[in-house]
Amino acid sequence: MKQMTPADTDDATHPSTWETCEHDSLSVICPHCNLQFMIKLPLLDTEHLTEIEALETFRPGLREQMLTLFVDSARASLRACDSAWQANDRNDLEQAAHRLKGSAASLGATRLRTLAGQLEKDAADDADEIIHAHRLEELDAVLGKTITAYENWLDVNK
Amino acid sequence: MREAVIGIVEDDSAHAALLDAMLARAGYASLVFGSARDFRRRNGIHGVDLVLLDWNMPHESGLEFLISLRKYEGSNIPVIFITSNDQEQQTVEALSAGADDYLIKPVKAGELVARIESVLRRSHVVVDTAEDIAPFEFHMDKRTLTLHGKPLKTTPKEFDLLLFMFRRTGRVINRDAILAHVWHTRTIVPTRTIDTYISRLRSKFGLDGRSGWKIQGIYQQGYRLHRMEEEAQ
Repeated sequence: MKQMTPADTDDATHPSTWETCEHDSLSVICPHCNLQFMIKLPLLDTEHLTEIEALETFRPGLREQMLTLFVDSARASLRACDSAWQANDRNDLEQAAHRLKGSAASLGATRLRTLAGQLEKDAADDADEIIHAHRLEELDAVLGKTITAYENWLDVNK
Repeated sequence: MREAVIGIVEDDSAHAALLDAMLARAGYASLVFGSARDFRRRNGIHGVDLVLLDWNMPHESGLEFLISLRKYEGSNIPVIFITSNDQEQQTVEALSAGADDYLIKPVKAGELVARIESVLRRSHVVVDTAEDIAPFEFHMDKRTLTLHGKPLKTTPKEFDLLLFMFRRTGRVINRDAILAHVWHTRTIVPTRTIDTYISRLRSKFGLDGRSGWKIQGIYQQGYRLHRMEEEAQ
């Protein structure tokens, strides 16, 4: 398990840590009261994948094209996040995280979208809060898992 | 094939490809622009009937682009935002600036098409066939065209192109839009082919003024079909 700190849940009274597991779920734990929230957060939204599959007839090769374009844009956004983080430029970090969130949404990459959105929010809101490097590492890891999961889906649906 | 041509202004290529596929399934021709700058450079305003607009783009944001369209360029082309910005304040800003609708990514194909149709209905950007285009008359059931009640012999492409232009009378239409809608392509057909077709339409159907209608070439922009009396005004 990897721990990401700090992050906020929607409940402002429970500033929390995020913990990811090897399964589809992401748990959010309050360090103060130890209350644990379980969030179902799959790597990929199967409903969205079904939609992409259905469009293949009208744009042959779309499924593969989506992955290629997503990988390019998501990696570029993640690199931009890293550069902005190193330069301590919260505005750039917010924008790069937003782009990553948008790319993730296009592919139906639910977990990546949520984590990128959280980073975007933290960069925008928590001016005094330190954003730890391993949050970017976590995003990088989730991006890798997302790509693998999508490739597996392509293999299964050949 | 549906009548309207949809412009996608989006810097995320994956999302643009997804929207383009959704529109193709719904029967819409679409043109993709990588930025607001690209839209201007390619004269998008004369190519599309509705714009799907991203918010966060390099150089000029979707909101800045929309404000410019409405305020400084006097365009009332329908605009639907499709963005990851999911805050109420941003929705309000977009609608206040003149957006016709606002959708959050990821969009579902069914909802997207329903929203487009709703906005197109409200904005009347495409002239209905019932509109007076006398002395011409389109018979959609048989895909035939008459002039003063006499049937005209048209090829399928000529019929599509004429219908496309008559539904946009008075508006400048660029070559990209014609290629996308009538030839269902963006690059394969040389633009000279369109010029040849237009020339043929002029002479074959009296659209050089003899029928009371004229196709006018607009330098570096495209073509405009209009009544002769409009030219005189």
